[in-house]
Amino acid sequence: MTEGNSERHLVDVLHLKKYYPIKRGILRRTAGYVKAVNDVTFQIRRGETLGLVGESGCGKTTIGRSILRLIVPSAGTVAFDGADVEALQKSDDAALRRRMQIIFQDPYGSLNPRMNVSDIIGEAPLYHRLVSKAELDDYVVSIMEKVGLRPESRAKYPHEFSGGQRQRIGIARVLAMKPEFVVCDEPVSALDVSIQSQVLNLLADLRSEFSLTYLFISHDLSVVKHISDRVAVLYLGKMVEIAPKADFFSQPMHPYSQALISAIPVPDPDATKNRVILEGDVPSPINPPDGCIFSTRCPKAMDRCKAEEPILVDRGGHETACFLYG
Amino acid sequence: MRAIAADKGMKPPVRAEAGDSLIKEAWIRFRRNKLAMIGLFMTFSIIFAAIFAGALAPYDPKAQLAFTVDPALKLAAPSVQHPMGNDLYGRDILSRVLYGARISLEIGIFATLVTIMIGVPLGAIAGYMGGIWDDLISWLVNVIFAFPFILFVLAVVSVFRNPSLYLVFVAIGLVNWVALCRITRGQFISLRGSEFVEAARALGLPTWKIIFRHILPNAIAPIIVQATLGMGGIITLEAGLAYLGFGAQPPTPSWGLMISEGQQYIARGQWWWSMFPGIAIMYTVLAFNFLGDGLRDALDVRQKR
Repeated sequence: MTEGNSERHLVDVLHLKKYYPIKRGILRRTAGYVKAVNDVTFQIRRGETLGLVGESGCGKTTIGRSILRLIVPSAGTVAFDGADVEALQKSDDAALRRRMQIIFQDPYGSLNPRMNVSDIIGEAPLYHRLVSKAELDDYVVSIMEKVGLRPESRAKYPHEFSGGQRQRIGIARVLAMKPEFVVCDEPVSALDVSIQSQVLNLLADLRSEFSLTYLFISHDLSVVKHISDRVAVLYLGKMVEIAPKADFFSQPMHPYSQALISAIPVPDPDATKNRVILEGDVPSPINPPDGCIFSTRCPKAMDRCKAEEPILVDRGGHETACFLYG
Repeated sequence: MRAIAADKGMKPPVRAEAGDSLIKEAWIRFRRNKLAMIGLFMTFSIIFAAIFAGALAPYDPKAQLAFTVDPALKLAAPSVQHPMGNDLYGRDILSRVLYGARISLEIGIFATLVTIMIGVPLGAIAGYMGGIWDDLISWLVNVIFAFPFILFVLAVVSVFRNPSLYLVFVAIGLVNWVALCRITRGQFISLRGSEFVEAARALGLPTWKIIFRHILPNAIAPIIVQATLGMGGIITLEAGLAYLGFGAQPPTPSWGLMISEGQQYIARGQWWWSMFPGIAIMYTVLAFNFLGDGLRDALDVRQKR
């Protein structure tokens, strides 16, 4: 892998691609590919929270699942702490598995309705021998207290909880594995706004208490602004900008990022804002545009953008894939 | 993390409040459904009759009373001593109907077990593994579905010269598994892609735990419903086989056999020999259908209280 970098980089994603074949006809021949993730490279530093933003269908979730090897990528590698996660698939490397976990978006679909909370939280730690059977109950109680659930309700079933509580169960299940890295896949977008901030604060508290590293996937920039150290913007399966949070929100470089930031609602009716309104729809990931993938909707598109594809260039820690900057 | 482990020993154990499992909630829904409760009661009554047939039956079901006791009992109409009448040999029809419940339930339960043992694993393999396994098993299911049921069973039974009850329920099971297989396959396909199964994989749980702890318990409700509804079908099928002479053999008190033996006397006004076992079959099939429908409504997670 990228030699010598494992000190700083906990997760190293290199040229990751995921193409889904489209089968047509009775013979089910491959008629084309959905390019869900198209050559994405980025790193997540130990202890940081990288916010990954983008519209629905841009490949955010695919990236998250590929890092955990829940999805097998078409090409490219993912290294976790210097080890290729491909091992996860072949040998079910339990140690590596334990260290990286995922919090899901849907607090209803992500909990087994036939298991009580105690089993949901305790099953995996018991299986991986993180705790003994005798300690398990105390362990579950302590984890539930950490995430703000009443331990008395550990014999209850998921359907007896509210959405926010269920999300806390999902967080507890992850925490019980003592992970180092957690993919948060839109963990608050299915929740009420009033609950969102509680869960976000919980995630932030746990991050500092257990020195966790997050990949925080969201389509909501204000959520990402709240929790991230750096922000990565994905458009149509490609990374268009990665920057430290402050830089990103004060000086977004890519025209797509500028449009996204200008669309964040401001709670002030008198505020005058120059909103960048994007024309048209996101092109199909089956047939992405030539040149820069954003050129079809970019207000600043030049001739060069339709012909050549810009690559991600690092300008003092602020990376952008755009010809506007040379 | 270590810090939590250290201080937890000090505290008194935290009490756990009882949770309402889905089974408990399903029972609450089931109890509210009148038809379901009637079905349950009817089913219990059949099971009761089958178990205690020896004590409930007033006479030996095989005793030919017309020869041993009184020639007048030959095809005697229902009376106080014989509420369902007697057949050609003077055998007490009530006793034979009660013992018949044993045969029918035996066939129903064992054929269903064979059905489950073949249908559920094959459906699970097809649904979970997908690919070539799915293609192969689905193809086999379609072939058997396309074949006339009763003909297939007849073919299996007639290969063996000596039709025994064991053969009958194995034969029924061999054709009946396909419906259960399809349902199991569909359940496994949809559950395999669910987020909680993905979560289990992310937690590094082994495949067998994912299948038996995470998928199967969530797939079991439609399987139970299908198996219960299938019981009625199996019992009719057995009666049909016995009627055609391929199932239980005389003098076994089988309902299908009794209908077959008594049918020629219906036109002569001696209806009781065929009619009472016929009613018994109807009662049993209705019982399982009511029960199955009730279970379907009660176990359906989408229908909340």
